[in-house]
Formats: sequence, C-alpha cells, structure tokens
Amino acid sequence: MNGSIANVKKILLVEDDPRDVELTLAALQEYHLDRTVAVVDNGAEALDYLYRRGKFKTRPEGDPVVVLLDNKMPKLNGLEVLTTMKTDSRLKMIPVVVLTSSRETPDLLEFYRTGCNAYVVKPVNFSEFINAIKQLGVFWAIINEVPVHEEIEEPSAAAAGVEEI
Amino acid sequence: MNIEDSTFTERRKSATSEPASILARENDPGASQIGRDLRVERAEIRTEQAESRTAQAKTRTEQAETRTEQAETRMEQAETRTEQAESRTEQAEARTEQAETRMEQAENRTEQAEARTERSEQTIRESELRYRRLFEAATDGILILDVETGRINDVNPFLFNLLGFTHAEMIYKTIGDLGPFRNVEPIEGMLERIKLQGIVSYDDLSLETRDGRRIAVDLVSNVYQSGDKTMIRCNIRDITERKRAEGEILRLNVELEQRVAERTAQLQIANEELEAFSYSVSHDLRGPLRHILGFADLLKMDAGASLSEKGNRHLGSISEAAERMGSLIDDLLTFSRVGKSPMQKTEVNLEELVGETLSDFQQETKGRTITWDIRKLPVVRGDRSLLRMVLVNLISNALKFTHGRAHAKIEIGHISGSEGETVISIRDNGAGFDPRYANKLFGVFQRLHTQAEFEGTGIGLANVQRIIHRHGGRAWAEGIVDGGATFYFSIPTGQPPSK
Repeated sequence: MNGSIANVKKILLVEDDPRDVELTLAALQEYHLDRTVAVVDNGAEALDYLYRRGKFKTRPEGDPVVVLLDNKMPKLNGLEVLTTMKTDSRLKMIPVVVLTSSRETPDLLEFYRTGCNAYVVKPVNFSEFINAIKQLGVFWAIINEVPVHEEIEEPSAAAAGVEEI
Repeated sequence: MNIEDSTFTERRKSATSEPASILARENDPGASQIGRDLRVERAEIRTEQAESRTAQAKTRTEQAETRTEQAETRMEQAETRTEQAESRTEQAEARTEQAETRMEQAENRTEQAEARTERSEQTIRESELRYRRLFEAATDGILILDVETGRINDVNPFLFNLLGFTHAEMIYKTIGDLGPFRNVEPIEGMLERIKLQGIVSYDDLSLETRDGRRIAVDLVSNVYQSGDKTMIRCNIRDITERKRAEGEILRLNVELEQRVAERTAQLQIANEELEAFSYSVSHDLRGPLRHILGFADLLKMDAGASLSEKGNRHLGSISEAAERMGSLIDDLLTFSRVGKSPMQKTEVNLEELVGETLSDFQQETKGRTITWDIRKLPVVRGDRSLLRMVLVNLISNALKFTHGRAHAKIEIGHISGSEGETVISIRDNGAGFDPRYANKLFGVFQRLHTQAEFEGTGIGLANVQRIIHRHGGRAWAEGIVDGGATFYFSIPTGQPPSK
C-alpha cells in the first residue's frame, strides 16, 4: 500500500443494482478501497468506460487494475462485456472477476472459457459478503501486479464492432 | 380153403364106417379062410387107400401149411402194408390239419383285411365328410376350377357370400365371367401359368363385390389331382380386416410418435422452464435476500446503539428469517442439482465411505455419548459423491434426532433385501416418528417436527430419495414416536462390476 489515494489503482465495478453497489462499496470501505472504485450500472457503459468514449470520453487515462463484473444486467450482460474485452489486445490484459449470484455450472464454465480470472458467488450472509469483497479488493487492487503496457490511443477494431451490438 | 376142409371131413367119416362092416364078417365061421384072405386084401386095399389118403392128406396138409405159410406171409405183408398205410394216413391227417390251420389263418387274415377295408372305407367317408364340412364352414374362400375349361366346379359359402353371389350364380361360370375377378389377369393366362408352375398366387388383390364394396384378398391357386381329373383349387383369404388393422396400427403408431414427440417437446419446454426457474431462484431470489441481510447489518452497525432492545430484536428477526430463506433457497438448488448432475458410477465401498463420512461428524459429536455399531457393508456400484450425500443426510438425521438421548445408539448395517439389490439400514434410538406420516418423510420441505424441536429445512430426505431413485433403488423408513427410527435404502446389484 502506498498510502496515497492518488496512487491507488482504479477498480471498475460493473453492477446494475444500486443496493449491491452500496453493499460492495461498504465492504471495500475498510481499506478505503471504495474511494478508488468507478461504478457503471450496465455492460455498455462498462465498455464506454474502458474505451474512454461516450460520457467517459474525458476521464483520466489509465485502465482499472481489476473489473468486478456482474452478469445479469440490462443491455449488455457480463459475459458479453467479458467476450469483448478478451478479444481486444489491450483490454484482455485487465483481470476480470465475475461477481454474481449464480452458482449455476453452465454460467461458471462459460465465463472461464471466455477468460475470466475469477468467479465469485456473492454470499447471502453479509459478513461473508464483506469478507469476500474485502479479500478481492486487497488481492486485486493491492497485492496483484498489473502488466505495464503501452497506451493505445486508437480504439481497437473490436471496440468499433461492439458499438453496433 | 374152407371148401377143401369140408371135403376132407366127409372122407374121414366114410373111412370110419368101413371097419364096422369088417368086424361083422369075421363073426362067420364057414367062410373063414377065403373070407380071411379077402378081408386081408380088402384091409390091404383099405390100408393102401388109407395110406394113399394119408399121403394125400399129408400132401394136402403140406399144401395147407404152405398155403397157411403163404397166407401168413401175405398177412404179414398185408399188416406191414396196413401199418404203412396207417402211417401214411397219419401223415396225411397231420398235413390236413396243418392245411386246415393255414386255411383258418388265411380266413382270419381275409377277415382282418375285410375289416380293414371296411374301416378305411369308413375313414374315407369320414374324411370326405370332414373335408366337406371344412369346405362349407371355411372362413377362407375356396374355389374349385376345372383346369381345362377354367369353369367353377364348386365354390364354398364363404366365398359366394363374400362376393355377394349365390352358389348357383357362380357354378359352371369361368371366373372371368364374374364381375369381381374381371380385373385379375385373364383366366387363360392364369390357367397357362398354373399348368406350368403348379401354383399361382396374388397378394393383396382388390376385388369388387356385387354391391360395389372393395375388398382386399390374397389368392393362392394350386393344381391337384382328383381321381383322373386335374383340378385347380383357389384359396381366397379376405385380408380387408387385416389391412384395416394394419392401417390402424400404422395410423396409431404415427399418432403415438407424434404424441411422444409433442410430449417430449412439452417436457423439454417444462425442463427448460425448470432450468430457468432454478436459475431465477439462484440469481434473482438470492439478490434481494443479500440486500435484506446486508442492510439489516448496516442498520445495526450504524444505528444499533440508538435502537431500543425491541428494535434490535426485530432487526435480529429480519436477519434470521432472511438467513433461513437463504438456506431454503440453497437447499432447493442442491436438490435441483442432485437431480440434474450427471452420474459418475464406480465401485463404491460403502464401509469405507461410512468411515470417511463419520470422521466429518467428529466435531459435531464432541461431548456426546454415542455408541456406533457399524456392521460389515458391501461394495456397490454408484456415484460416490451422491452416495456420500445420502450417508451424510442419514447420519446427520440420526445424530440430530438422538440429541435428547443421554446415550445415543446408531447402527449402520446391511440386510439381505430381495434379489438383485443391496439394502443398507441406519437405525437410531432417537425421537422416531409417527408411522402414519412415514410417506411424508421424503417430500421436499416436509417436516414431522417443529423447528424448535429439531432444526432443518426438510430437504435432506428428499435428496436421499432422489439420489437413490437415480440409482434405481428405493428409500423407506420405519419408526414409532419416541422409539427410534430406521431408514433403509437399496441399490440394485444387477450390473456386474465393469471397473
């Protein structure tokens, strides 16, 4: 931990339910990780954020260190976001943690096949939930090292395709 | 010979009378010398005569003897001949007897032959009668045709009724003359072929009856010899009903297949709906629950201190209820998975599996007095993890319901079930159950005790039953209130081990 908030890398939380957002942020609060979280409430906005377009055109440069991705969302769902990210040479470097309510095996397999880095079923019990989110935040935002890569200013071909969806 | 004898006797008589006259003359003294000489002479003559007669007699005697001898010889010969004759007679008689015996035998045989002839004649008459009856009563049409003319010699009632004719209308016609057969090949062709091949058959021939109905028949014609005449016998089988039945079967099969397909599609839809339902339960119901629990906790953290004791208790109830609902949802999902997950069958040593399972309960049973009685258990073929789930459920039940016992006894054994299955029993001396509700035990979320008595959602036994059913076995229970319970499950042993 560098102590300085400015240096703490960004977490992108893709979650359509504001209550889940609030609970997740509450969980991340303990290590002050909540202040570095960017929240979008659907898959399309997640891609806008990642490609710095639409309402995120003016956001500061830099990719999040991890994307916490819900699956069931309006417009683009989590799997579609993940699929787009993993076909983009730059975005596929960003770790993605699927944060979902579904314990269904087919979902789990599909996400791993597509290239998610972790699959976490949100515990119903609040303390377990807090615990899980905290661990995720600490691991991905603090412990895990992200690769250093050259900035790509031009939106990739994959991103152009996504807008049509 | 008798004649000779009588002559001889007369002479002897005359000879006897002579001496008496001689004696009378000797008594005369005057003439003594001359007389004496005369008498001597006479005597001499008489002697001579006597001697001559004696000689003659002798000769005669000799002759007689000779004759006698000859007679005797002849007699002997005659006797011999008689004997021979008798012997021949005997032989002849014997032969006659034999001949008579043979004759008798021959007569017997003749009689037997006659009897047989009579019987065979009767048999023939009976056979004719039987044939006639068959002909009259047959439920196949029979047509007798003259091979030369192709005319109908006889037709049985079945056929003329079938075609809507009378016997008189059909007899002596050729079959080509009759409407129903008009479309069959020309009679000449059929006759030609039948002469050549001895048999002609037509399958599924369509005939039109006199009243215009279409009937389907199979027709087989063959040649046979009746005395010195060659005849054709046609057998005509009405297959209309059979064809209708076949059609019906075909139609029903198509219908059945269609229904199966529809049903399968419906089941598939139902299955998909269930999948969607279970997904929805998994995802959509757990979300709100998480929120209830999360915000109740946040509320407690943020405002717990300022809430009244009652307020805190309410908050606790909200959390408890939400957590219980979470367990129910999790159980339901588990139950759904138990039914859906693919089975991986291997040889499972139940004794090992029980031992393994029991070690999981060590923490739970700490401080309790429990006598475990684990008997020798067999190896079965099944899904190890699912069977482990069965044991976990049943053992955990036994532990739960013996909780009130100072000394709990749990016995796991193997009883000989009916052929082709292995039966495992788990007996406890716990709270038992009312046998009237035994059938409810295995239902989803069915509970025979209150939450306060024994906690649980009531999914365990439903899982047990579902797993056992998937293995092709049965699950059942026996028990009485406060008298312990025994749970049984069976696993088929039919499949020989393949691994």
